[in-house]
Amino acid sequence: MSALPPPIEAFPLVSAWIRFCGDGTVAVFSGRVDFGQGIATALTQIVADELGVPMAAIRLTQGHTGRVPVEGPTVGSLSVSIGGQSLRLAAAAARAVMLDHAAGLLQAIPAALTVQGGAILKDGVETGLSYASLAGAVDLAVPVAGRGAPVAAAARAISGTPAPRVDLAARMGAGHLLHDMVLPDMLHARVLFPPSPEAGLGDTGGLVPGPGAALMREGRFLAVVAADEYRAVTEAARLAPMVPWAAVPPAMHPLDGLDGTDGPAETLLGAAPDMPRGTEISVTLTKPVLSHGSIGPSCAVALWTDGHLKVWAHSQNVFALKDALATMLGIASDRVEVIFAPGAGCYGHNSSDDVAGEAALIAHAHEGSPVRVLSSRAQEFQASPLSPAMCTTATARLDADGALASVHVHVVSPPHSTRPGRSGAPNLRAAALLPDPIDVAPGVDMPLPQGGAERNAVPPYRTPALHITRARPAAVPYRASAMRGLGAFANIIAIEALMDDCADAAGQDPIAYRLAHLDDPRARAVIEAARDMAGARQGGEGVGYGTGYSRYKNSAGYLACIARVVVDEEVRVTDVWTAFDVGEVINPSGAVDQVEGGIVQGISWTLKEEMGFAQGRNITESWDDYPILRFSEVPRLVTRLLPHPDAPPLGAGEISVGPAGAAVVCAVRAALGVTPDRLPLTRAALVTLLAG
Amino acid sequence: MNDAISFLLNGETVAVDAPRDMPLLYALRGPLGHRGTRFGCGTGQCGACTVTVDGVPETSCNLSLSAVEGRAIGTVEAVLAAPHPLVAAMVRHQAGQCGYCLPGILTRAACLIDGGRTVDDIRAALDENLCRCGAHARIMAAIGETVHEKAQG
Repeated sequence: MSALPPPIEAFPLVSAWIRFCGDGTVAVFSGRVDFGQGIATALTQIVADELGVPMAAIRLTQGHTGRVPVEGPTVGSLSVSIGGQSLRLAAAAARAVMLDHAAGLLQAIPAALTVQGGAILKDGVETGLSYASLAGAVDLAVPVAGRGAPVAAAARAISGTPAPRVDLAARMGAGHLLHDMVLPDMLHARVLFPPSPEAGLGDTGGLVPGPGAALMREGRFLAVVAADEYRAVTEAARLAPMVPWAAVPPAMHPLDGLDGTDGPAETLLGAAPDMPRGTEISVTLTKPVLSHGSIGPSCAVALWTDGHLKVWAHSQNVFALKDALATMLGIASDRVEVIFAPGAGCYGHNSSDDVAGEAALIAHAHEGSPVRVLSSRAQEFQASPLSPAMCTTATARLDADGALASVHVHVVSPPHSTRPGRSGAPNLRAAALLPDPIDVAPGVDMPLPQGGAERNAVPPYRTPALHITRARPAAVPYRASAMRGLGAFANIIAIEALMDDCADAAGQDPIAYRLAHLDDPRARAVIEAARDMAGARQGGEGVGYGTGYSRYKNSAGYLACIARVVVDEEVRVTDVWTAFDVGEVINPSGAVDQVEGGIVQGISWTLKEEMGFAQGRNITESWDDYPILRFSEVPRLVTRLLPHPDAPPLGAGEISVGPAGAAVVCAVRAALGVTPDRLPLTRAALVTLLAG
Repeated sequence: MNDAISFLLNGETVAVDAPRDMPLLYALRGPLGHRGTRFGCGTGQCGACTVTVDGVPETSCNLSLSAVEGRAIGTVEAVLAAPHPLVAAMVRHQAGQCGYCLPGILTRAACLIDGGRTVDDIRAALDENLCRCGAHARIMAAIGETVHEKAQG
């Protein structure tokens, strides 16, 4: 028996996860949260199978501190593989406890009992007992370990089926999202941010809000508070240009620090080999600063009563947020309760935690009144964590047969996470503005194979000599943090473009060349499937096909895609064929949805997106400044899931952005005969590229 | 000084006592309690707040109350209450992830389907609505199916 998942080690009792109710429903508690990726549905499917109840009987509580197991952040495509496995074991144990109790009452052996729709059957016949009837009589405060065994894969009736999302219909109208929450006597606030985090603030005595609004100042933290939302919005807009922020000196451009000269390169893996003589082939790929670009600006509601702070947040990690809020306010952590409420998709660490900090500060000053804070669109672009710019150089030497003899991948990037709690700091932007400021701490990357900037910097291809190095800019003029896939996006593109250049040098087909360097049959299978789906790959004037493959984090899901592009004045992606393998899949529709969403987002990053900076200041205010892929630009998607129901689940949410970007870059390379070295591939970038 | 501004909201006459230059969106989400229409950008660039005005899709974040006086406003609440056949098609196709953009998309697409527009027309019109999750293909599949069903009568 393999080791228990860490969340079960930390929360060993069945009752921490599962409780039966007298009305026939089952209360299920998870630290994982659903921000649109469908995890609530998948977790419900898993539990329904284990317990033998319909999905509709399950009431899932997600991400509520003090009520659900502390499972850390919902990140890294780990929700099914760790969160789901924990619930599966807990539910299997719950079923075993209930059947043991029923067996005693019925003087039967537990093996003779089964559950159908929550009713307990003996030899297939109703016994009059059910989970509901035994709910009050059975103590579930017993360890999960050693109790029950999960239903065999082949016997699962609900997992593995495309069950409809439990929350999708609710998300189509008002009431489900935090943004729509209204509490009695709720106040509305808008925060006025400095033009740069370090900007000083002069005398604000002259800033007088109109009737019905008030100005709150604490250190350099400024907010307009009003009972009426429109009043808060208009007064904030009127006062913002009058705030006496001190001028700040210009800063560097975010791409200037990526030449790798700010500090020594660190070896992460391997060593510089004694390079054999031979052709050296090198690809460099620069990725600009990107925004998460949530369609809904970040929102939070907070209430301070009797020394207790309650915060509703669309955070990816309510547990770390709780501690961060306590640190910022200087109160004990047990006086803070954070409740996850769904918001707009975040795709990583956007300002959902920050805005919760702001709501908490304002609520702390308005005892008894709920306070709702909503960011503006400009703040969502300018005052939020951003996906950092990075530059990856992949260099290969080939042997006499054209095969890889050595590969060196060098990544220059700031760390990719400044989430709350990282480096032990609250990492809330408002905390840095208080009279006793707590600055956002320098970012931290996890070590390989997870990695941050270096995620997927290790090529999946066989090579006798491998060297992975990393350097970082001394400083960057923005707050860098996590976005879908972290460094994997740029690293996979650089490595895949390198493989195309090497295949050309070796005189081989790019797909055949990749296959010749792969031994893992599951890796080969996704590439071969995508190849077969794409057909002849007949290029032509301005038409190119490109392939992107990776195994996410070198240890999780396998995915290959082939893109067809037409390049005239700009790049248009017309088709993407994708095959993927993520082991056991709880909901095939949901897995394909995540993969296709990642493909569209990866194409958008590749073709269109770049945060604008001038004199080191973020000047991106609106969607006009930051275009993303639109309906008419989305390609035809053909996606195939290669089933491996008996293999461990590997996660799907982040696995496609890198291969999608790589497929597009390689397709543009094929169409133009030049390897792109800089994203995004806008019209201007193509002109520069072709001018050489 | 405010005068009540009245208009038709999903077929019912309503009156709002608010500044004439207040965007319709704030009246809908505030005093009128129709919070399905969502704030996304405030400048008409993302489509999350799309409503219909006399049967034409428009963004409500940059549309003043004075501009809608006496006119007929339709919101996603009406699309969901009917329910428009597109709603069931969206559920069948599992079209949408976080759902923040969906009220605006449902409102625009349902209006255009009812107006007899083609799938290609509707796709082009939906360039006014941003979706960040990348659910476009499924949304278009649901729209295509609804247009097809309508044509079948």
